[in-house]
Amino acid sequence: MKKHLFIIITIVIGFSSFLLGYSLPPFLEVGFGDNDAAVIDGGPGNDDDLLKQYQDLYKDTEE
Amino acid sequence: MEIIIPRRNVIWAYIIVGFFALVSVVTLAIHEYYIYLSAYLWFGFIYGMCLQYGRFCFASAFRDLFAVGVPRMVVGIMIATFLFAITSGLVAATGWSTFHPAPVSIHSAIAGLFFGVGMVFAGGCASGSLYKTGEGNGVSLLVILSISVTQALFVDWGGILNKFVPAAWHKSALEKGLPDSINVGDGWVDQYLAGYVWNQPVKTYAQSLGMRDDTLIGALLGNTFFGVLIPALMILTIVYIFWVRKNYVKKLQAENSRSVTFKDHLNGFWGMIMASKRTSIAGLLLGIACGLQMFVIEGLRMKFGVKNAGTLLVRLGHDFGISAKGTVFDPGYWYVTTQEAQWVGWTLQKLGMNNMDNIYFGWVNGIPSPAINPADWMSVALIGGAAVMALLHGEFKFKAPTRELAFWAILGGFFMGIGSRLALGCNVGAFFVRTANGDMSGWLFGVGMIGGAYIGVKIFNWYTERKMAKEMAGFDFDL
Repeated sequence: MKKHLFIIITIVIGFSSFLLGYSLPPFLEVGFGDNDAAVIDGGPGNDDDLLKQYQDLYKDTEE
Repeated sequence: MEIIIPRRNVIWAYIIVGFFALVSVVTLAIHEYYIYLSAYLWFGFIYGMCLQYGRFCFASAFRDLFAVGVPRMVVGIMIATFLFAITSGLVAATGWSTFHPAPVSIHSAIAGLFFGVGMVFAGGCASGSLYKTGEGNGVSLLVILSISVTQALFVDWGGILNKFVPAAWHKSALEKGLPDSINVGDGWVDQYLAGYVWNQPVKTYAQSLGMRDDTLIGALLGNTFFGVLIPALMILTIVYIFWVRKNYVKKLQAENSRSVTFKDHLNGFWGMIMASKRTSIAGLLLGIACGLQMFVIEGLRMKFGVKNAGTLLVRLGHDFGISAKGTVFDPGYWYVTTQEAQWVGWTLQKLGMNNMDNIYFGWVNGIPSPAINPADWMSVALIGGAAVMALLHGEFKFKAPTRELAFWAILGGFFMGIGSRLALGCNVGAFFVRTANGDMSGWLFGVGMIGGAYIGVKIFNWYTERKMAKEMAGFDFDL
């Protein structure tokens, strides 16, 4: 039983480590403690634009 | 002695892990964005493994304490909350925490009261019901269904409930300037949220002490030390005095007939803490996993240039059920009840009911298809993780509910559903996560939940005694 549990824990750690590795580069790029700028730089603009975009999307769906 | 595990249990454990691995690999091959959902999936899986290992159930904890005087699980939960607070504090200090505190007012305690009564009736809290479902428990599955349906209906319910909305809430809700698609003037929960809850202050212990949450001193001293350690120690002391001390002193005096000193009590207190090792280890692992999930989700948000998974879903072409502001439920950490409400909300929407005109679904959380809902991936994987642990420990067994247990499960789930929506979370989202992150509403919910659990145990005892008396009356004894 312990052997199988160990194998499964290894698989879980493997996937989790992959996820950690995948999400680490953005942190290294912008440094810790300054996420707002990074999100807006790569994002679709400011919150108001985003809000309008989705309100329009909702209208389109209804029409 | 090691338990012999049937071969089919091992095979099923590998099938479950293999399925989740396949989902992650195939979806990543389809599009890079799906890794965001896989992040929820694997952390959900870890939560399930930890919960099953630690038997992490708030209902069992307080029922055992109030009904039979066994404090082991309550102590374990307090220690787990403190250990989780340390990891949360470290994450917050880096400035990358995805946690957002909730409004603080008496509503949290009232909601906790509903939730506490419900979890005792149901025999499992929100997280406990999930891991017990993974163990094959049919009653727990019914509890989840009841919580889900209650929440989905409650958040959209207007009609006669509108009559119980104070005029001030109605007026304040209308003044919030929500879009026309949200019918904020109709529905009790809508007016409760926009007219009352949103007007309450949002505070952490660090902020109330003049510190910032995202500094080491604010996170660890303000939130973890003052916000978690001190209240947890107070509760542990109360538990020791009222439930442990008497038996401990009796045992000591029987062993060596001398008066008990303060040092003896300290030893007794430490012994009480050490008796809850398994739950504490689970709590520590849960805390580490929650912290890592916050890092991963925040990193992926930066990588993809989004603030919420709703944007990713739209980019992937899944625009059904996205809220009016373009969001879906995407907490970035462990949560239980909202995704349960969402899948019922989605089903009801598909059946023709309009669930997108209320704040809960239409403005904040959305009702994306459960197949692509990040938080739903987390809950399904949580059940899977618990199932794997149960299978490999020989603890998995299908248990169909009896009619009586089904009644209590549905009733308990109903109360938990109401409590969850009033508090904006359950024993995980409104207590465990909030308390550990220094949110002042966390302990308020906790106090209500403990009070509710006490009332629930009293009602349950009354019912059981009455039932037993009836059954005994049926026997004819010749003495």
